[in-house]
Amino acid sequence: MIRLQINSEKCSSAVMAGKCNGEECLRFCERVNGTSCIFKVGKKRLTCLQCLSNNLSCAFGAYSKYSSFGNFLENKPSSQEIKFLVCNEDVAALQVKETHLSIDRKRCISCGACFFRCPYRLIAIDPQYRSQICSPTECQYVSKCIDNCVGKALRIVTENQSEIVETKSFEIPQSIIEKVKQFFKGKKIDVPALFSLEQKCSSLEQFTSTKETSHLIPWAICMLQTLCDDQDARFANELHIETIENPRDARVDICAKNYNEVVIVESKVSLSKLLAEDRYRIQLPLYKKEGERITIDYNESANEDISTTVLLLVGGKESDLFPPDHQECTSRTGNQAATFYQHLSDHRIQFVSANALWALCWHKICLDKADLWNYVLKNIFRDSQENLGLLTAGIVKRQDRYRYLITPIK
Amino acid sequence: MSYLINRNPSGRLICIDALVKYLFDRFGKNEFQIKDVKFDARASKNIHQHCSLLATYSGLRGMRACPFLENKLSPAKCYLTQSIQHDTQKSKSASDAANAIDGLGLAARSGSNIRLTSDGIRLTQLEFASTEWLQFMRQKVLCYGPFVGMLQQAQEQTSGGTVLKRNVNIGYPDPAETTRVGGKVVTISAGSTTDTITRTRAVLFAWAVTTGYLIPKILSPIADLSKTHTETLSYIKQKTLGSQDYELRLPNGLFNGTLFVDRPLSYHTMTKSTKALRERGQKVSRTVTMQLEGKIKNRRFAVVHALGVASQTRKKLDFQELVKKLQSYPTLFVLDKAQFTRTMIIETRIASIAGIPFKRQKRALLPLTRINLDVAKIGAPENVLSCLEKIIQSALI
Repeated sequence: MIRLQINSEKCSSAVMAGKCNGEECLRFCERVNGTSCIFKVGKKRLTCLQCLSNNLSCAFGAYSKYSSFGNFLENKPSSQEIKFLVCNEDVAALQVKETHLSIDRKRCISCGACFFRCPYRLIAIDPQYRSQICSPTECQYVSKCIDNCVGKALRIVTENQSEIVETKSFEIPQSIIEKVKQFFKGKKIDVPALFSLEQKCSSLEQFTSTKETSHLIPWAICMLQTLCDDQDARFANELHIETIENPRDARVDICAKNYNEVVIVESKVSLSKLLAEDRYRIQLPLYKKEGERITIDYNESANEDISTTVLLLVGGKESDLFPPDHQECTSRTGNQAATFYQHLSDHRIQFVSANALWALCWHKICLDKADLWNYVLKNIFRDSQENLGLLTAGIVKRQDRYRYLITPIK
Repeated sequence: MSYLINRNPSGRLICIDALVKYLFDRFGKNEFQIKDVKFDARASKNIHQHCSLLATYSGLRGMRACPFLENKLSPAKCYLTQSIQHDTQKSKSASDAANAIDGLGLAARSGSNIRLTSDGIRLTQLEFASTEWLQFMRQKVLCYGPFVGMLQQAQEQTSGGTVLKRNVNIGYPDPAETTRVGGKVVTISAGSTTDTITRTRAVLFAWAVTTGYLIPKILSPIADLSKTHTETLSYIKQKTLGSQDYELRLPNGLFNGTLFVDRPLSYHTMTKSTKALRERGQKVSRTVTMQLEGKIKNRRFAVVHALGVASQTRKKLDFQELVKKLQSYPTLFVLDKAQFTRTMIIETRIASIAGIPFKRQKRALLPLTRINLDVAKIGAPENVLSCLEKIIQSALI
C-alpha cells in the first residue's frame, strides 16, 4: 500500500517562513464526494488516499455540463463535472488498481488518450504508439496538493515508510518522433491495429466507428484537451444551442474553448452513417449560423473577441473520407465520396477525421507545438473557407467541380 | 390513472423491484414526489442499497456501479431513475419509472405526488428470487392496460405457436387526419411514432418475459416455469432484447371478459404528450394538434368508456350506433364530419392500448376484459361524461 505522508517539520518551516498559511494543501485537495481527503488529527495531517487514484489525469477525463451554448460562453456550468474513463471499458487496457495503474499493452489500441493526458510522462510508448508502464512503483498517483505544496512537505511513501516512491519520466522513442514528422505531408498515415479476435475494438478506427456517445465523443474530448493549452480551457458535451427558426432546438456534441477560440463539433462514427442519417447538411450550417449569432451577442455584452468555428468530426475508416478522385479513397461505391464532397461544398461544411485529430495530438506532443490547435482552427478552417477538411495526409481543398487536392501543412 | 411507459429501463422488473423497496425504505407509507424517485448522492438511502445488479469493476478500484450506465463514472448513478445531480433527460427517466410503478398498481400517482399502495408495500416483503414474487408480479402486470392490450394482440398474432414482436403494435392510433390552416393542408399528429411504439413494445415484452407470459424462442424451453423471472434474468439484463420470436403462454380464458384491468389509460392519457410533438419543421402541425387535442381525447375516451360500460353490463357495443350518436355532438367529438366514421374505425385501436381489447362480432364489439371505469374517467370533462351517459346506453346490445 502507498500513502501520502506529510512532513510536519517542512510544513511548519513553510508556515513560519510565511510561504504557506498551513491550509494550502487543503485548498488544493481534490475532494471526493465533497469531503476533503486531507484532514487534521491534532497536529498530524492524514489522508484517505481517495483523491490520489480518483483523479488520475491519464485514467479519468472530465467535462462540464452547460444548459446552453450561451452559458458555455459565459462559463456557467449547470451541474458538477462529468467524469468518464479515458480508456473505455470496451478496450480496458488501462486499469486503476488499488495502489497502482496497470496497462495491458496487448489490449491497447494506440488511441493515445492516456499517454497525452499524463502530465508527468510516466506512461511509456512503444514504436506502435501503444501505452505501457514498466512497473507499479513508477506510476505516480499525483495530486494537486503535492504539486502545490510550497514547503515540499508532501510525498508518497510505502506503508513501512522506508521507501519513497520516485517518479521517472519516459522519453518518446525517436522512431515515433520521426514518424510524426511525416504527418500531414501528403501521404495517408495508417493508424496501428491489433490482430485480436478477442477484443471488441482492435484499432482506433474500429473504436471510433461505433458508439458515438461512449467511444468517439469522450475520446475526442481527450484529444481536444490535449491540444488546448489554455489553463482555463473548457469543454462540454451535449450542449443545447438556441435556435430562432427551428421549433426544436439543436444539441451539439462537443464544444471546446481555448483562449479566444471556440469550436463546435458535430461528430459521426462513419461516413456511411453520416450519409444515411443525412442530417449534417442541416445541422452544421445551423450550428454555424446560430453559433456565430450567439457569439457576436456575447462578444458585445462581455467586450470579448471570441471566434467560433464549426467542424464535423468523422470517425471510422479515414480512407472513406478521401476525395473521390484520390487513390486512397475507399468509398466510391454508391457515389458516397462524391456525395459527401458535394455536400461539403454546397453547404460550406468543414470536417476533420478522427485520425487527423489523433495525428494533431502526436504532432503537438512530439514536436512541442504550442498553440497548434488555435493555428489549425484559424488558418486551416476559419480563414480559409475553401479548405474542406483535414486528413492525416493534409488539407483537402477543392480544385474544381470534380477534383480535389490534398496539400501538406507547412 | 395510467400513463404510457416508453423508456427501456422500466422494462426491467428487477430494477422496478429495487425502486419500490428503496421508496418504502425512505418514505414508508408517506407521499413523495417524482424528484424523490431520482438517485440522490447526498441522501443516506438510495436505490443502490436495494439493487442486486450493481457490478464491481476491478479496473476502477473495485468501484460498484450500475451495469447499464454507459459511463460507469456518470453521476447519473442509476440507469432507471438517473440522479438529482445528473439528469440529461430532464426527469423523463424518473417520470417513466414512476409511471411504471403506478401502472403496476404498486403506487398511486396524482400529478407529481406519489404514494406506495398496499400492493407496493406487499412487494417490499417479497424476495425477488422467490416464486411468491413471480406469482405476485404476474397478477400486477395484468393491472396495466397497455400490457393487457399487448398480450391480446400477441394472442391474435400468434401463428404456429410463435408471436413475432414486430407484429404487435402498442401505440396511439393514427387516423392521418388533415385540416386546413391558412389555405394549407396540415396533418394532425395524433398517432405514435415508430420509435415510441418500438420502445413501449420493448418494455411490455420485457415484462411479459419476466413474468412468463412470453418466452423468447432462444430461451425455450424454460427449465422451471415457476421461476421464469430468474430463468430469464440474463436475457433481460442484456442492453437490447433483440429476439423477435416468442412463445405465448397465457392462462386459459384470460380474455373471456372477466379479467379486471385496474389501471387502464385515463382520459388524460388518451393522446400522446404534446411535449412529444417534436417533428422538425412542423411547428404548424404541432400547434394545430394541440388545439384539436380535446376532441381527439373525447372521441377516444368515448370508445374506451363505451366498451367499459358494455363489459360492466355484460353487453356488446353497437359501433355504428355509437358513431351515429357521437356525430350528433360535433362540438365535442367531430373534426371532419365527412371522415368521421372512417376516423372512428381507426380510433377504436385505442381500446387495445387502454386495456379493453375487443372482438368484432358482425356490427358489434365484444369487450374481452373489464376496466376500472373510475380510473378511465380521470380528467374527463363533466360535459363529455354526461353526454356519454346519454349516448352509450342506446348503443349497447
